[in-house]
Amino acid sequence: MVEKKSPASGWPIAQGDFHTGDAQSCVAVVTMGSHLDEQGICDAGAAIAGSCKTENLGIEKIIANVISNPNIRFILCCGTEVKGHLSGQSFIALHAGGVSGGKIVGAQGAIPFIENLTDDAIKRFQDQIEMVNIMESEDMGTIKAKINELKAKDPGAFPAEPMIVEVKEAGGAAEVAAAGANPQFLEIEERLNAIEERIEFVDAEIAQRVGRKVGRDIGILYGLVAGLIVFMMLLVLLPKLVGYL
Amino acid sequence: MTSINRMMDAIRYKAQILARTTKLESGIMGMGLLGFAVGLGVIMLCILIPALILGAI
Repeated sequence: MVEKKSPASGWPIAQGDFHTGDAQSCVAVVTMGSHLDEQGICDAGAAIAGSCKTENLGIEKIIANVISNPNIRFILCCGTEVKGHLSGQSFIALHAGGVSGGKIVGAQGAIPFIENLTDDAIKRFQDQIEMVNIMESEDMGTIKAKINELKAKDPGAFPAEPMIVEVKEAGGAAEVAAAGANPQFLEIEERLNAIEERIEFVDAEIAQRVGRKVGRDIGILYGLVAGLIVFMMLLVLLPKLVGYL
Repeated sequence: MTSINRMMDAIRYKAQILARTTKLESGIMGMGLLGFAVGLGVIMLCILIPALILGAI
């Protein structure tokens, strides 16, 4: 029997869209954009199971709940990827590369910025957890089989006390939550950006055409003035030159 | 995030102004010389044609 520890008091410490099972289990399941039978997954032996829609606050909440329970050693990523946010890819990238300047290294999601986790918390997450990737799988049979397989490989509790981090949802997180409310939001935003770019291009082209007209008109004016000056000089100087010669 | 978005908006606005100004200037510079030549030609015609008709040259 492997060694087990008690999770932090009040675990899970971050509230969200998930269900909890046996806190002594070594497996946590993240269904990403899919809503599966999370309670069924927990009944199958997972410590915690839920979705993760956003590549910032959602990931922060998962990590907060995972590192506050040293018994969790595997995270099973399954379900469909969230369009635009790419929370699954960002989550796996976070485990692989960590965070640099607040941004998840290698994340391709829209807003992959981590604000509530310290470097120690991320390091702890990387050390404690082994990621298991069966993304795009929604089959309950496959997920349950994987949970059983991972439970058979349980290395025991992570040799450290539960780490508690506070995940604040105020400020920038509200903006993220607003973006996460509708997965189609980013697609619409991308299209608006494309339209904006074209408008900017047309605007610059119009400015260039206006510039050509202005340049031509100013050039004509300068040419007329220069020609008149030359003519006046010839008119004044030519008789004198003829007289001199 | 809000501050980053504001900064991004400011940078985008400056870039738009810069692009527009550059395009305007390039248009002026491109057509200025041609306009000057046209203006000079017009004034020469305005002066030389009457002079030729009057037999001054």
